[in-house]
Amino acid sequence: MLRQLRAALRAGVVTEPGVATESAPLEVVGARLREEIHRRFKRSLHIRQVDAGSCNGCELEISGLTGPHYDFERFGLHLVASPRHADCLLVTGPVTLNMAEPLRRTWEATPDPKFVIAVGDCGRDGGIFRGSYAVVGGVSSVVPVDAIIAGCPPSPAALLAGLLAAIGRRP
Amino acid sequence: MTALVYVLAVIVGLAAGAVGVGGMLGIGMTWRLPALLPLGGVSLVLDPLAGVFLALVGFAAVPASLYALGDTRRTPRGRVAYLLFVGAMAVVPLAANALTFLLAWELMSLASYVLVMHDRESREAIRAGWVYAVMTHAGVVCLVVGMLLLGTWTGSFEVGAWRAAALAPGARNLVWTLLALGFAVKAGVIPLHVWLPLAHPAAPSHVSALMSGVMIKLGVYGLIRISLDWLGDGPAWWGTAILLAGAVSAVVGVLSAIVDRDLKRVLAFSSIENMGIILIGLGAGVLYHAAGLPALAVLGLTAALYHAVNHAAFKTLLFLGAGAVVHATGTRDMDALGGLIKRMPWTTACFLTGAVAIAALPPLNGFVSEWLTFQALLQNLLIERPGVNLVFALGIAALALTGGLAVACFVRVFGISFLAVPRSDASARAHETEVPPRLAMTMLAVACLALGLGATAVAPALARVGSELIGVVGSLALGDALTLDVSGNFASLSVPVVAVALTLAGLGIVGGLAITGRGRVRRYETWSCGRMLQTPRMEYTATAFANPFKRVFHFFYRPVEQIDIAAHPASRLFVQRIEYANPTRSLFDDWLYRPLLDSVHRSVRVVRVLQSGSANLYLAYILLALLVMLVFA
Amino acid sequence: MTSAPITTATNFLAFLGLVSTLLIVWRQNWPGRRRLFIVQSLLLAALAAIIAAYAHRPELFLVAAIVVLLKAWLIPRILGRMAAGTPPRPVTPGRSAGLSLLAAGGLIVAAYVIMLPVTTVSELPTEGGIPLTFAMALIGLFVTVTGRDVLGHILGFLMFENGIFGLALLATYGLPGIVEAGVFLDVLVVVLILEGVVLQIRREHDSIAVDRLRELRG
Repeated sequence: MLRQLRAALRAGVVTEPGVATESAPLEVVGARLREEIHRRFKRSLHIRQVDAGSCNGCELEISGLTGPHYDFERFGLHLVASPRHADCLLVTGPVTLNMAEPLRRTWEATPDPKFVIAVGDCGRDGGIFRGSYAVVGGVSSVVPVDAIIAGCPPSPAALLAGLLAAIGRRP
Repeated sequence: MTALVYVLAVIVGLAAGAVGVGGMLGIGMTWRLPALLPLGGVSLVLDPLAGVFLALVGFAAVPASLYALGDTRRTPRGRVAYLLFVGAMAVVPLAANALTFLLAWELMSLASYVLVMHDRESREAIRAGWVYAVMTHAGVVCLVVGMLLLGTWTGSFEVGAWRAAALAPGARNLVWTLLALGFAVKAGVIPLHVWLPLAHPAAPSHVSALMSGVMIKLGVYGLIRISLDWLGDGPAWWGTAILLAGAVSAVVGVLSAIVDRDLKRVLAFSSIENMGIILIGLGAGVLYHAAGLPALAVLGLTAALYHAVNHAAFKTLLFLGAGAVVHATGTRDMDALGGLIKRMPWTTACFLTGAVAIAALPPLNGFVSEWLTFQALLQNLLIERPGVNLVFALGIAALALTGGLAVACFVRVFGISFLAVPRSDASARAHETEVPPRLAMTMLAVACLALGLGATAVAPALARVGSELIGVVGSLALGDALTLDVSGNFASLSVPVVAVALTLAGLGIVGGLAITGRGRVRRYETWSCGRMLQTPRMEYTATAFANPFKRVFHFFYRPVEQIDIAAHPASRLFVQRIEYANPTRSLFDDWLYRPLLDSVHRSVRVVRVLQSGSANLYLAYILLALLVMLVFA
Repeated sequence: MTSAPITTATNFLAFLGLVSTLLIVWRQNWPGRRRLFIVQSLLLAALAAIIAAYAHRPELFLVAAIVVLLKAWLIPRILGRMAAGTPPRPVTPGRSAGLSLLAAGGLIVAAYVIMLPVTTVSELPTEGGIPLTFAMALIGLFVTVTGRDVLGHILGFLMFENGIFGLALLATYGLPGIVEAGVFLDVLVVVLILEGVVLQIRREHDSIAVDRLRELRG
């Protein structure tokens, strides 16, 4: 433990200073998100992310949300480990044949009330995989979709904006 | 014929229970048959303390024998031994001289030895019997030597004379140590417990129920007698020794129980734990007695007696339940059980009652006695000696840790064995037991509930026994009919109120959900990460449950990981079979018994030179010994 | 020291008993040893009878009769039955009896030394025979030690018992009746049990030589 402490002290802070100017639009969206989530979900929205055959591009962007720059937990958003804990499913990928049934089961396992957001062009309609023999094509062909965030892949900022829109549309 | 034996055992049990309750309430009796045996003959005396333990023997023997009536798998072997076992246990608390006591004690040990060895085909049972015989006789040797010394120094083998005699402190301490060791072996005190987790699983279930429920309590009985009665007022270190031994036994017992996969061995380890709790209470009582605080001494003793009675009720119940499970499934491995709640609802309900009771959850009986033990321990500041206070603090910490771990342990036992999907075919084909075992278990479950709800009736009765033993004038006030009140206004507990509150809260939750959540219930299959197939292999196992404990208490378990991977001959990437084992190693085997046995083996190898195999040489030894003795006589 | 007739008689009988004991040590063939054992038992019966007459203990006559019945008739018969089938002489090369006799002589000396404290304080007219009968007992034990087969052991044990019996007669004029009866019963039972054991061993192992028991060591 002493060795670790010494290494930590010697190395100092190695991260670059953040760029404050870029974050202004993010903060605006974030503040509105927090407000909406506070009002509609009593402080927090729990999201279960489902990869239904994605190329992991969307996943990369989604995990960017949890990083220090976006840090979407401060707006009241959480990624959870089980659909049993989730209010919302964030589904990526063109829904391959093998993932169709698990996706349906995940949707069934999520308690009501719930809503589904399809992420990326693949999630919207199959994207470049549309028509392939191995995909069902589009999340909406398996489970009911409430909102779509397009893009290949959508950037974290787009994801946040899409989430805000999806939440705002809900009654 | 077989049925007759067990019916007889039920009758013996009922009679013993009735006499015992009579004794508890103050009916004294004395039987003497001086002509029957040398050294003072048979001498039996019924006093309140003997009454408590006699009642314990009797009322535990009734359901155990009832259970045996329904267990069709029992072998004809062991019927007579069982009857002798019950009879001898009933005589032990009554014995009022050394010879009667030792004879009954030895008969009890031998009969139980025969019962442990009932399955003579299995190596496990033979090993268990062997360890049991060695340990129990090491204990008997201590008892015999102690009682003979006591008899020589006081000039009498009668208990009454021991009380009257004033021994020198050194002599008293020596006798106490010897006798305490002998009783501690029987009580399964760490580190003399090694026989217990072997013998209990090997014996048939109704016998393990009695061994665990009653027989080991007689070790406590002996400790109470020598610490507070036979040897007069003892020094404080007796109490310290008992309390610390109890604390160690409680913690080590529950730690061992929590990682074991064998259903009956878990119960056996849990018995060690509960003996520890009883001894913590007793040790506190002895310490208070030595410090001249009789009211608190009675409180400690009451807590110990109460927990002894309670443990007899729920451990007998749990062993009978485990017996029903083993009978129905043919296995004791928890990782092969599961799903029994659907197949054996009656047994499950009874087992759950016992598990809740032993985990000391209100309003059942275990809660009351552990609460009393805590109350006895918490008032230790009245003894103004920092060393003693430290001992008490250790006892409190151990008791608290034990309580938490015991809950985890029985969540594991019950959850893994009875809930979820069956983990094996045997478990899937399980069936409910016959009527007599169910009756036996129900009796004990009701007893657990009654001993909890009726605390205000039981605790004062036991307190009276305690004050009679210690010699306190006037009985201890323990509150009114509804509330237990300890030491004036130190603490109070009303089990019925707790029970009512819990029931109301439960009803409130259920009712509230029924009203607010109506129509919003949706039933869907268990979440399995979206997999198509759900198999029992995906279930949480007993081994997995135990793993966090293995990591946290790494220094105690010293687990070893054994992974055996068999790959396909063509490529090591294609794994055909993986075997994983994560056994723990016993501290006591490695550091205490192994070195001891090794040194014995070494010295025996030296002496073995004498054993040449020639009969003539052996006879020559006799002749030589005779001549030497005669010449030098 | 006046030599009363009782002293002479008991001394003489005890001496003859010792002689018969030594002859048993010397003889190698089994029927001869058995006959000598009968002689020894008869001598002890006579000793019992004489002491009975001298000390006015009529129950000792009964004891004498039992000795004759049991040790001079019944037990030798059983011994004969046990021995049936074994060759009368050892087939193995014989050991010289010389060393055994020397050891027996040493035991007689030892018996005198051991019994010295008893004989010096004793005022009994029979005290002269006490070391002799004790020597009989010791030599009996010695015979069991050197015995090469089970028969030798049994014979040695019986001789030992005879010696003790003689000692009891001379030193205390017989033991209490109940003890005596018990001892007789013991001897009979021991012989009967051993008969069964011997027959069993022979059936299993074709031999009753002690050397072969060595293999039984655990």
